[in-house]
Amino acid sequence: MNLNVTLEGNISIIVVDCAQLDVSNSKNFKDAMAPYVGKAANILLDLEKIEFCDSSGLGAILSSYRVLRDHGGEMRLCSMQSSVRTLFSLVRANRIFEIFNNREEALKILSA
Amino acid sequence: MRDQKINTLIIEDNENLAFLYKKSLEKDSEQLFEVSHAGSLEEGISRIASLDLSAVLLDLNLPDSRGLDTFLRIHECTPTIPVVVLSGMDDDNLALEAVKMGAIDYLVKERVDGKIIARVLRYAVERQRTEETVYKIARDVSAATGDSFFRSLALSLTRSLDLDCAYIGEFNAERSALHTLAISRNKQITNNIIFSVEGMPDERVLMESGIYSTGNAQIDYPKNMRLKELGTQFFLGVRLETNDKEPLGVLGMMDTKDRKNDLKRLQSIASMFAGRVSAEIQWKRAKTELQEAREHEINIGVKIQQALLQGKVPENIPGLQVSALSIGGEKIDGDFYEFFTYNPSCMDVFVGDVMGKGIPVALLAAGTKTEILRILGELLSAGYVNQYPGLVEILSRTQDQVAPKLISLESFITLCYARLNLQKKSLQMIDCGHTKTLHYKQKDKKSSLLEGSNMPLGFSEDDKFEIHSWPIELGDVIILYSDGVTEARNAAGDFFGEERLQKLVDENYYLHPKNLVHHILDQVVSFVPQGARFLDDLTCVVFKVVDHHLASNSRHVRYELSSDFQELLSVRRLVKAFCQSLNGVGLDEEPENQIVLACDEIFCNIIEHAYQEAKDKRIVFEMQIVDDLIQFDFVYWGERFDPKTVPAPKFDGTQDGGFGLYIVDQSMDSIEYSFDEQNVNRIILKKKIKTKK
Repeated sequence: MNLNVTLEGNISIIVVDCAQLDVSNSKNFKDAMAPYVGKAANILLDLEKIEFCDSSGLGAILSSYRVLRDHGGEMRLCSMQSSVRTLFSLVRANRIFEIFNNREEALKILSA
Repeated sequence: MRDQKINTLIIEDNENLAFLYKKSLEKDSEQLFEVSHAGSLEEGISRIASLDLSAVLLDLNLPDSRGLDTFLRIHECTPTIPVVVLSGMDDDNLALEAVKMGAIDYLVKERVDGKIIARVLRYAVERQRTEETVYKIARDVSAATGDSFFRSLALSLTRSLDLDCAYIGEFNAERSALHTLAISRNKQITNNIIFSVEGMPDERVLMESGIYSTGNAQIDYPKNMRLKELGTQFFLGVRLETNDKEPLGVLGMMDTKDRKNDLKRLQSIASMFAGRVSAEIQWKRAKTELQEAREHEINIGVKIQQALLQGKVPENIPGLQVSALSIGGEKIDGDFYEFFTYNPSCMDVFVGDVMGKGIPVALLAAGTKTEILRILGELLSAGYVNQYPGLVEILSRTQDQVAPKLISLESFITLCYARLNLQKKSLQMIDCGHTKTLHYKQKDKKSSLLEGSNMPLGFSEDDKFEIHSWPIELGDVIILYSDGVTEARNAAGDFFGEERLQKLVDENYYLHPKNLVHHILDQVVSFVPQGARFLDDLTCVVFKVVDHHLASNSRHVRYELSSDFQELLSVRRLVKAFCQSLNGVGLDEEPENQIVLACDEIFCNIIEHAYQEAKDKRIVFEMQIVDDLIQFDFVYWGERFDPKTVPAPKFDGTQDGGFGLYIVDQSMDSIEYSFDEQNVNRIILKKKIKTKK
C-alpha cells in the first residue's frame, strides 16, 4: 500500500493511494501507517482517492488512530468521497475524528 | 613386480648348456629364479602340467621335435605362460617366426650369458603379469561409466595391485583443490575427501606426474593428503589431462610398503588407465555442461514465456473477471495468449499453440503474437474509431503474414481468437484448429464445448475464416486452454480429456477465475503420475461474466460466486449497477452507498464466520425488486451464522472492529435470517426505495 506523505508546517499530510480500503488491504494499511503513528505526530489523513471503504477499512483507520493517540498525537481526516462519508456517518465516527471537506479547509483551520 | 619367485622350466637337450643356464639363473643377484629342467619335448610337456610355472626357456631343436613345431606344441599347452625361444646362429629366421606366433622373445645360444637370460625372463614374466593385471582391471571396469567407473577402478586397482590406497581426483575449475572422484582404502571404497592444493608449497606437483617414496623421495605431495600420517611409504601420481595437455586431475596409488621395485609396472598400469579416466572426467564435465546448457535453455524458455508469450491480464473490466495461468512443461513450448481491451464492455483474447518444442518454437509463438497485436494496432489506426476491427480481417491479415513463414518452416499454429462483447451479450470466435472452448452457462447449470471450423494457420495460405457466435449471460464462465490440459495422461495412459475438464468446471463454476484456473491446472498436474515428465505447457484462460446487464431478467438477477474476498469488487459493482438501473434512473447517492456497504459487509461476514475464510465455498447472491422494495438474498452452506446475534459495537474509539453488522442494520430496513434442515443459510436484506425524480 502506498502512502504519499508531505509535511505542511507541523502537519503530516498522508494521502492513501488506493481506490478501495476493505478487508483485502486493511492490514497493509495498518502496517504502512505504523511508522507515522508511533510518535506524537499531527496527522491529516487525506482520503480523496478512496472510492470505497468498509468496516475493515474503518477499523484499520481507528486502530492507527488509537496508536497515535497513545503516543500523544492527533489524527484528522479530509476529502472523503460520498460513500466513505456514508460509512463514517453510519458509525458516528465524526464523534471521534475531526473531518474536513478538503485539504485546503483543513490546513486553513489547523494552522490558524 | 613384487618379489615373487620366477619358476622357470628349461627345455634343452644339451645337458651342459642346460646346467649352465640353470646355474646362472640361480646365481642371479635378486635370487628370484627357481629352475627345473627337461631334456625332451615330451618331458617338458609333462613337467609343465605338474609345475606352477612362470616362464619357459625353450630350445627349438629337441630329440623328439624340431623347429617351429616344438614351440607350437609348448605354446598349445601353456598359452598364458611366456616362452623364450633359444636358437642357433643359423636359424635366426625360425626364431623370429616363433616370436610372431606368440613366443615372448628369442635368444641366440652362442651370444647369451646368464645375465641376459635372467633379464629377458624377468622382463617376459613382468610383462605377462602386467598384461594379466591390466586385463583383470579392464574386465572389472568395462561395464561401468561415470562415478561407478571411478569407484570400480579405484577398488580394482587396490585389489589387483595389492595397494593400500588408490585415488582418483579431479581439479576444480580454479585448480585450487582436488576433488575426490573415488578413493579406495584397505580395498574398500571410502568417503570422498577434498584436498586443498592452493597455497601448498608443493602446489605445482599435482600438475605433474610424480612419485613419493620415503626411500627415495622425489616429490612431496600436498601435506593435507596426510601421506606421512597415513604411514605412506609410497605414492605414485599420474597426471590426468586432456588431449591438449590441460590438467584434469590425478590418478594416485599409495602403499604403506615401499613399492619402488614395482614402480615401472605400477606406472605403466596407471598410465594405461589414465587415458580412460581422463576421458570419463571430460565426459562427466561435458554432461554437466550439457545439463547446465539445458537448464539455461529452460530458463530462457521461462523468460520468453513470461515476457513474450503470456499476455497481461486486464484488471479493470467491470463486467468481467479474468485470470490466466501458464505452467511451463519440461521443454519450452509454444503456448501463447494475449488480451486486447477496446473499452470496458469489449475485449479480444487469443490463445495459440505452435507445433513443436524448443526455443525456435517459442520465438515463432512470440513472433505470431506480436504480429497479431501489430495488425490490431494497424486496423485501429486505419479508422476503426467507433467500431471494432472485424475478426475475419484480423485473422486474414495474420494468415497473410504468418502462414507463408509457417509453411516454409513446416510448422503450424492452432489459434482461438475470441471477442467478448458485453453490450451485445455475445462471444464471437474464429477457431483455427485449436482445442474446443469451454462455455459454462449459469442458466443451464452446465458447460458445453464451442468449436469453430477453420484449419490451423500454416496449413493453407488462403483459408476462408468463419466467425461463430454464442450468447453470454451473467454468471457464465468461458475457458480457453491449450492441448496440454486435455492431453495430460495418467498412469493408465488415459487423457485428462474434455469430459473431465467439463465436469470439473460444472462443479466449480462459482469460483473466482483466479482460483478456478489454479484448481483446473492443479487437477491436471495431480492427474499425471508423480515424477512423470510434463512435456507440454499447460495454459488456461478463464473469464467469468459479472455484468448484471447480461442477466436475463433485469428485475431479478441471480449470480453465484465463491467465498473469496477477491469477489468483493464484483459484488459491489453488481449491486451499484443494479441500483443505478432501477426504473432507468437509479437511486439517490446516499441510499445507494448504504446498500453497497450493507451487501459488502454481509458478504465479508459470511466468508469470515460461516466459511472461516475458505475461498472455495459457494455463495448464491440474488438481487430483485419486489414492489417498492429492493431485496438482496445471500444463500450459503457454512456454519450457522445469524447476524442478529452479534452485539452492537461501542463508538468511543476503543473498538476497531465489529461494526459490520451494525452498518448493515443501519443501512437496510430489515435483515432476515433463516437456516433450514439442509444446512442452507439465507440472509435477506430489504430496503424501501425511492428512485430519483
